[in-house]
Amino acid sequence: MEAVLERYFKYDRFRAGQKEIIESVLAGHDTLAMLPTGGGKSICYQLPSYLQPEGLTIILSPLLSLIEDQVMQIKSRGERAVAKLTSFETREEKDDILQHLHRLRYLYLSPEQLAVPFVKQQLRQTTINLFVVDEAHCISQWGHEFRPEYARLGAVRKELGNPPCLALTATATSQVEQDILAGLMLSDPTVIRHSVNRPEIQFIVEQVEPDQKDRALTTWLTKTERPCVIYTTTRSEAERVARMIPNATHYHAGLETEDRQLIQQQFLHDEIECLVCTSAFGMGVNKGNVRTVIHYSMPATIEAYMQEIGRAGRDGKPSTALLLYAAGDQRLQHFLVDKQYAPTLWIDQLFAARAQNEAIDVTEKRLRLDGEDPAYRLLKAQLLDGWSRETIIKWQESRKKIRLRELMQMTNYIESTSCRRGFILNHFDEQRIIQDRCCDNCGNTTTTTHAKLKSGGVLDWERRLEEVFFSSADSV
Amino acid sequence: MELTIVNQMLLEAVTRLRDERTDRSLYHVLQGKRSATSLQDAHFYELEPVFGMLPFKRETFDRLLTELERQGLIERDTTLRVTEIGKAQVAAPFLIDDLGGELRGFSITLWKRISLLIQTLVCLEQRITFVPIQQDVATKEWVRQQIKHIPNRKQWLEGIHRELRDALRQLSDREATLISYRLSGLKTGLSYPQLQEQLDSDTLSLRLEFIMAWRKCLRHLNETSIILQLGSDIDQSKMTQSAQKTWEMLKRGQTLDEIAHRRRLKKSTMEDHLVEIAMYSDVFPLGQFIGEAEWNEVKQVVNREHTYSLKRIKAELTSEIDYFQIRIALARTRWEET
Ligand SMILES: [Zn+2]
Repeated sequence: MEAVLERYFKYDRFRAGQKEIIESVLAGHDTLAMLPTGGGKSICYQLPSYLQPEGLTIILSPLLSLIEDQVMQIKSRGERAVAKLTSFETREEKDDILQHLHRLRYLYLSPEQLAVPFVKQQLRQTTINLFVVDEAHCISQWGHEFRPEYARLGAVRKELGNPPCLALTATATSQVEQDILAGLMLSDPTVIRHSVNRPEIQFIVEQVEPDQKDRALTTWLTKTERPCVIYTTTRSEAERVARMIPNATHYHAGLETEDRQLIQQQFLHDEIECLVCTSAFGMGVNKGNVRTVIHYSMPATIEAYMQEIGRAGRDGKPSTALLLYAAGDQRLQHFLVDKQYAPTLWIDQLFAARAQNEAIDVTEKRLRLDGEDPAYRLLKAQLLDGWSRETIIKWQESRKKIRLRELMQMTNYIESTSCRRGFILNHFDEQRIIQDRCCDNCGNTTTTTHAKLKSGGVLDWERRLEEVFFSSADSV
Repeated sequence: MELTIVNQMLLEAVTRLRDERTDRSLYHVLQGKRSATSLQDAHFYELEPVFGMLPFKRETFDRLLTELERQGLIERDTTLRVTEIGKAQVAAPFLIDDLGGELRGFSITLWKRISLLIQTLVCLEQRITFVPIQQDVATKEWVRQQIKHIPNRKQWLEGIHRELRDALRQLSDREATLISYRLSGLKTGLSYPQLQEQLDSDTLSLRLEFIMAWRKCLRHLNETSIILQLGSDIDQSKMTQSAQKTWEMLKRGQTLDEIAHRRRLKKSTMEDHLVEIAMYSDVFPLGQFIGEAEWNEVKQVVNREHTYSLKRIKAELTSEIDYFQIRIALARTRWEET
């Protein structure tokens, strides 16, 4: 097993938890594995394929960006037998992939694609070694990222002849864990839970007046080490904060593809020290030496927070997670929660149109509803599934309640006066731990004194052109 | 009034539309939509250079037009038109004529190829991992094929570096900066927002400046340069593939009815193809579709009324000429001018 790890993945040893998961998969058990972000989840399902007889590993993943990144990474390590089925591929590309499934080792799919009858039919005719559900917590109505399409995965797995299943998630409370086991219909599953604790990260929260946030951030930047990622809630905030800091730049989904690639590459190569971004950044970006993750504003849930700070210290060296909080930060989060669900007006309009027997596509055009808007997509799916108006409204209300409860937990974390690590571990039903460099409430945090921001140099195109092509040693 | 480059270009484009088309028509031309109407708009209103070169998102396009409107430079009713104040802001030579849309994205495709090839080779040479700066499948596949045919990478890179350096020396500092700072290899290129701060502009304008600078750079390269060779197979034809097929069959002597029947094309589609052929082909059997006298009358109306609006032309005509014939005639008038 170590030889395979070395040969295909270029690592000399497994990280905590990986081997146990792989062994369970190779023994053919249904497995639920919880590994913290940055714990090397992907190896757990990519490696077994090299030790098994011919067959396909299919991976369900909720986000297109996540799929893109994974496929890119697999290809960059030299493995060509990988493909993806998402809404990006053309009809012809999809057909081509489905006709030649036997040539593939890995197939990434969005759950929507797996619901397509032709896809299912083709998959039934091939040998599936492993059915991987990434971000498995999306199946739980109690989880912060519930996705209706995930709810059908258990049934689909049955239809595909019940291939062994590996469900993966970074963080799950025990309630969510139960939902995953039931939803995917895992039989006699092995549950592997690795602690969510990240001992190399120290936790700091600073509460400031709303108009003092920028000052607080600038001060902290002189005391924390870089490279550093600063998370903001909105795109415009990311742009504004980036302008404030020398040698920083912003990243969000509104950038053009080429610009996005450039910034990822700059950050990976340590050409910029501070990256100010929305949660769009980070999926699959594998950078070991991020020293500090700063939240300029409060995240929506503890789970999301853990995921984002998980980008710090992947190399195992001391790192810092800092959260800046000002009274009123919740308001934006409240607004975002509301925006995720269709307003009652739409529900009424759609039901009125249904009563008139108007086709849904016609209604959509007439009311200028955006087919890409997740709130509308969700409503449409429920409508097509035959939900009544009352059920939808009740469901929405209960969803919002869950969200607000999660937001409240985040607020409790911020306002807590006892150990922050303990608070988080407790949230995930784990035992408290006492350690050095723990958190501001334990009072044993460390800061640096010599952090100076480099500023960008003067533009000189001829020198730059040389630096693009040649290392300084053989430059002319 | 100092206009940004992107606004200046939009204003120029609106001016060329002669108060005869809608904002939607302009939007589709800027997007490079290969529909009969948009191809025709680009051809008739001299908007070939911007065809597909300003592919804004709908919101961005609307925001920019609103800006121009607020500045009193254009008006938006059923048609788009430039105001008197707006007219004072445009003067020959038009910036948009340097964008190169008539080559159907040739320069952009070549940029994608060259930039990804350089990045790939530099990083392979130095054994460093990298995030491919170009993401589209065609470019990535092209690079994958190409690197197999480069035996001596070091030498190749030196050659490309020399070509670029010599060409960029003929450009202004600003132009050369825009190009060298978008390239990636050992150092990574800068995003437009990053360049924007240093070059004092906005990201949309910078992108357009970049395209113009890159085209200028290409013009300063030798026919035999490695860079131009790498673009020699890029499709620059304006005709849609479907129309090209029809044209091939026509040239082989098949009749219109035969072609329509064999390809199962509707009459209107056949007509669209013929208009495309009339617009883009240097030879065209015009006489088969419109008589000498009618053709002259259309030309007279166009010159007198200074219009390309099919409706207005039709209203002025005395003889029985249908819309299809007018379109064909208009398509060929451009050929007579040049
Ligand atoms: Zn503590």
